[in-house]
Amino acid sequence: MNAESPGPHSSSPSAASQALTDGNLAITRSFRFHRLRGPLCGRGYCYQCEMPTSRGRELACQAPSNTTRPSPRRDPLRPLGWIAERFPPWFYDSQALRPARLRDASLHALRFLSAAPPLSPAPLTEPIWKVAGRRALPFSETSADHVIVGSGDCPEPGYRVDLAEGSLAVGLYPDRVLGVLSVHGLTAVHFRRITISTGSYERLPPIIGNDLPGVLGIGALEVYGAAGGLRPGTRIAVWAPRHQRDRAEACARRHALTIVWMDEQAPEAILGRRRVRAIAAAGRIDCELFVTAVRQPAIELALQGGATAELSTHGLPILAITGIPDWMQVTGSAAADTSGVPDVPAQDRAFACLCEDVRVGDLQACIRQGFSHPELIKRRTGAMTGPCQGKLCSASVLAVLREMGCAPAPIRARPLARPVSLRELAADA
Amino acid sequence: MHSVIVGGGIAGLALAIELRRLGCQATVVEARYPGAGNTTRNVGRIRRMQLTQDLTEFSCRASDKWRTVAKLTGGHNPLVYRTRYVWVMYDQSELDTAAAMQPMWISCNARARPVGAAEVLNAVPVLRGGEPVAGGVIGDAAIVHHDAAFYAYLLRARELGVRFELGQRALAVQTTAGRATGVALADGRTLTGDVVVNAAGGMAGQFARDSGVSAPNQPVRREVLVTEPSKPFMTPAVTFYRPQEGWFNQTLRGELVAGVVDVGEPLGMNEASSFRFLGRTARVLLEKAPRLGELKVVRQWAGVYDTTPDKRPLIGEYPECPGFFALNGWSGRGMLLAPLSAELLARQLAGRGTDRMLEPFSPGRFTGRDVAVTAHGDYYSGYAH
Repeated sequence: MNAESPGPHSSSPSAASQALTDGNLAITRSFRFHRLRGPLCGRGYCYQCEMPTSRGRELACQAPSNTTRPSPRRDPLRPLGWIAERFPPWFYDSQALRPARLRDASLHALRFLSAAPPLSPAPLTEPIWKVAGRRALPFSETSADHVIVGSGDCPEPGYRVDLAEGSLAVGLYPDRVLGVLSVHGLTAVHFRRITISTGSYERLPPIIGNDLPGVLGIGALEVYGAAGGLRPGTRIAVWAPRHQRDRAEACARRHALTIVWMDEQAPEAILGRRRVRAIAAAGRIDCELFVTAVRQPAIELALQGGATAELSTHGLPILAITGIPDWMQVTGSAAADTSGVPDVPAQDRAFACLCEDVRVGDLQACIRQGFSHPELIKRRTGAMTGPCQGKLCSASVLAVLREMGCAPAPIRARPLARPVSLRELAADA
Repeated sequence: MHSVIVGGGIAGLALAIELRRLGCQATVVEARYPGAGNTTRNVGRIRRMQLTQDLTEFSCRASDKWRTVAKLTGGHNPLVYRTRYVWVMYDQSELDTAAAMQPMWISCNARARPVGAAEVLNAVPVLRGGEPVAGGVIGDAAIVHHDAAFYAYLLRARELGVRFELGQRALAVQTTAGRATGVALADGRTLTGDVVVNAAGGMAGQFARDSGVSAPNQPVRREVLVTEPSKPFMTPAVTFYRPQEGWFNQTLRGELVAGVVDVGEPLGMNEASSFRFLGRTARVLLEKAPRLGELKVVRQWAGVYDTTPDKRPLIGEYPECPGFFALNGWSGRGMLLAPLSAELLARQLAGRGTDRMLEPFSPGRFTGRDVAVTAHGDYYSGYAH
C-alpha cells in the first residue's frame, strides 16, 4: 500500500470493490449529462462514486460492501442528458430559452433535469435543537508548534492530522490556522510551522472516453485488488510513466491480472459505451479496465495556505508547487514536479472536468468568448467547482488555457479540502 | 463625453453599457478580473420588499429593470428567474415589525404580505421538523445566477465597444482646478476623461478617500458556503434574522448556497474564509432545516459588502470634487440596485437630467454629520429611525 495515499483505505471490501466483483462498474450518473460513472480513485477524493444510501450519501469506495447500490443503468432522463450536451457550457446563452415569457418556465423546468440525488424525505437524526443538553459539536481552539498533515514520513514530532487516522484537515486559513474535523469536534489549530505530506492524485488522460466506468487510478487498483474485488485474469491497460511500471506490474502479479497494454504514451481513445471495453492504440486492444498511473501532486492545502503552483513545462502538464511561505514545508509526492509521461494534445470531446461534465471543447469555446482567466472559466463552465474541487481537472483546465495562448494566471484553491456534510460540521462556533 | 469607470463589477459594467447606449465613451479600469471580490456567486437576490419606504420604492423599480436586462444584454442569457422570497420569523416582535410595514408595502406595490407559520412551511418544506416558525413574509422576487448575469453584461460591454484596462489598479482621481480630469494608474499612466465614476465595490470608500474626498463607506466581510447538488427541494429564497441573520437557497444547478452572519464581524477589507463560519452556519441551518444535514459542503468563500452608515447606496456627484461620481455603497444590494442605478446615473452623466429617486442617495448627505458605519449587530436596528 502506498504510504502516502491521501485518504482512508482498508483492505476490507467496499461497495465499490463489490461492484467490480459483480462486473457492474457503473455506480451513478453525472448530474448534468446523465452519463454513467463508476469508481475512479478508490480513496475518497474524486467523488465519482457517490451514491444515495439509507445513511445519507456515501462514497461507494468508502461504504461497506453490503450497502445497497442504486441501479443507474436504467435512467429515463438520459435523453435529457443528450439535450444538455447541446448547450455548452451549461445552458447559458441558449436560444431555446426564448421567447422571454418562456424563459422563467424553462429555467424552472431545467432544474428538474438534474441527475443529482434527491434530499432524503426525513432527517436521518433528531434535529439537533431538540437534543437536550447537546446542541452541536464542540468548537475548540488549540496551539501547536508544528503541524503535520498526511501520512507521509516525517521524522519530526508534531500535531498530526491524518485522514487514515480519522482526522481531516478541512482547510488552511490565513494567520496560520488549520481547521481540523475529528471525533472531538471542530478544532482550529494555530500553528507556527506546517508540514504538508498529502501525497498525490491520479491524472486523467485528455482523450475520448476518459469518463467511462472502468477508468481507474493505480491507487484504486491496489485498494480494490487488496479487497478482493478484481477477478484473476482481468485484462487491464495501464498508462504509466517509466518509474511507475514496477508498481503496476507488482499489483498485476499480486492479483493475477493480465496487462494487455502498458505505455507512457496515452492511447488515442478509450472505447466502450457503458464501460471500458478496449483502447485504441495502434489498433484496437480489448481490455476491461483502463488504469492511469500518472500522478499529480495533492496541492490544495498548500494553495490555500498561500503557496503558488504552476503548470509544468515538460511532458504532460501537471500543477506543481513553485513557491511556498517560509512557515510551510511540502514533502513527498505532494512536492513532486513532473508527471513523467509525454504530452498529448487534448481532444475536444474528452472530459476535462468529470464533476460538472465539462469537455475540453467547452473550455475552448469559453476561452474564445473571452473568458481567458482560470477564475472566469471556473464560474462560466463550472469546471473546478464540483465535489472534487479541481483535484482531477485543474491541470487539464490550465493546460487548455496555455494551449490557447493565454497568459498564465494564478490558480486559487478554497477550503474545504474534502466535502463534509452539514451534519458533521454543525458546531457551537 | 468620456467616462472613466473605476471597478469592473456589476455596477461598473452596467454603467458602461448604459453610457454606450447613450452614445458616450466609457473605459472600465479593473485591478483583478471582472467581478473579483463579490460575495454573490449564484445568489443575486432581486427582492422588491425592503424595510424602509425609500428603499422599497427604489427596489421595486430596480426589480422591474431586471426584467429588461435580457434585452439590454443583447440576448446573452442572464439566467434571471422569478421566484418567491420567504422571510422566516421566529418571534413575535418580528411579526409586529412586518405587520407595521404592510401598509407601506401595499402603497409601494412591493407584492409582499405577512403570512402564518403554515404557509411558510408550505412554501419551504425543508423547514419542517426544525425550530418552530412563528410566521413570515412572502414576497415576489427573482434570483439571478450572478455569474451568468455578470457575463451577459461583460460580453455585451465588449460588443458595444467599451474599453477595458484589466489588471490595472486605479490609484486616485487626478484633478485640475478642483475638477476631476482622470485617474492615475499603478503603472504610472493617467487615463483622462470628462468624468470619473467610483464603482469600486468594496474598495470604493478607500478609493474615494485616496482621491481626497470624504466617504463613509466601509467594507465588511460576508461568508458563503456551497454544497454539492441535489434534485430541487426548494424554490424560494429564504432569509431569517433570528438568532442572527442567515439565508439559503437552491441554485439552478441544485446546490444549496447558504451563510449565517457573525454579529460581531469587524469592519475592514477581508476576503478570507474562516473555519468558525463553517460550524456556525451548519449549526444554525440545521436548527432551522434539519433535513439539510446530509448535504456535503464542497467549498466556502468570502467577499465584502460595501456598507454605508444608513445602509443606502451612494449615487451621484461627490460635492467636494466636481466631475467625480459615486456608484457604490450597496450595503449588500449591489445585484439588485446596480442595473437601475447605472441607468439613472448614465442619463445624468449624459446631461439628460437627474432622477428624483436618486435624491436620498446623494453622496453629500453625510456632509457635516458625525456618522460612521457600525458593525453588523441586529439587522432590524440598522433600519430603525
